[in-house]
Amino acid sequence: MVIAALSVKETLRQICPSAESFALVTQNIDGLSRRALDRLTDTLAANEAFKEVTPEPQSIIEMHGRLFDTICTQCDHLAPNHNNPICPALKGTEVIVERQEQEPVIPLSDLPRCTQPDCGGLLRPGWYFTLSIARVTGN
Amino acid sequence: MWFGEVPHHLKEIDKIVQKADLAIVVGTSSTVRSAEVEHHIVYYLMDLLTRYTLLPVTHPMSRSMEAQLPYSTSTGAQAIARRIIYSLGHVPKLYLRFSLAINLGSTTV
Repeated sequence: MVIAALSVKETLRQICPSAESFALVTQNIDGLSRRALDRLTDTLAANEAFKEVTPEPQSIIEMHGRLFDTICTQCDHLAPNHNNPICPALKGTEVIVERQEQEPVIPLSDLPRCTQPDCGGLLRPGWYFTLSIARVTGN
Repeated sequence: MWFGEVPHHLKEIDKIVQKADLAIVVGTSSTVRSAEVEHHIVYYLMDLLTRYTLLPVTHPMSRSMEAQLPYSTSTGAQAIARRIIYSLGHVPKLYLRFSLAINLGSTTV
């Protein structure tokens, strides 16, 4: 919330009077920075005394995307998704991973699918990971 | 896990960094490729930026840094805040035009 508060020009100028702008560029994929900014925006809007005060919405850049977003591998539709489990076939898989047991083979048709009209493409997580394969394998 | 993808908003980030007078890079060690790329965004503007970097472990890339603070995020945040406040009072450029870019890396602060 402290960082989100810097997105409000009035707050930023209290801390640094000659500040022109503030930007948070984050690799975090938990979406917490954006949630803090949204909560601050709602709180200010609900308070009569601060109704004219609005945080700068573009001040937070999540350069690696967000864990709780999905992207369709066919139509590129991006949507927030907080379903747990994200689909019935993946229910309980976190326990299997935790126990280091063999993961089940799940048919592609049972994995999360795009709900856009006439699409149904396979969904992927909305976060980006740019570590190269060479680094992983050591080659 | 997806490999070899390009992070979002790089052009936008580049513009922000170019006009920034102060960048704070927290919690990224330059040891993975994405962090390396992101460091380049900051470091190619080396002469234009006042930089404070919080790195618990010294990294070869750190040698050219102006102000590397060898602390963890929890203890280093206060030290970096003190230095910034100090610099705001002593670097006239920051009074003329001051934009702030922060990269929190993969560390949640």
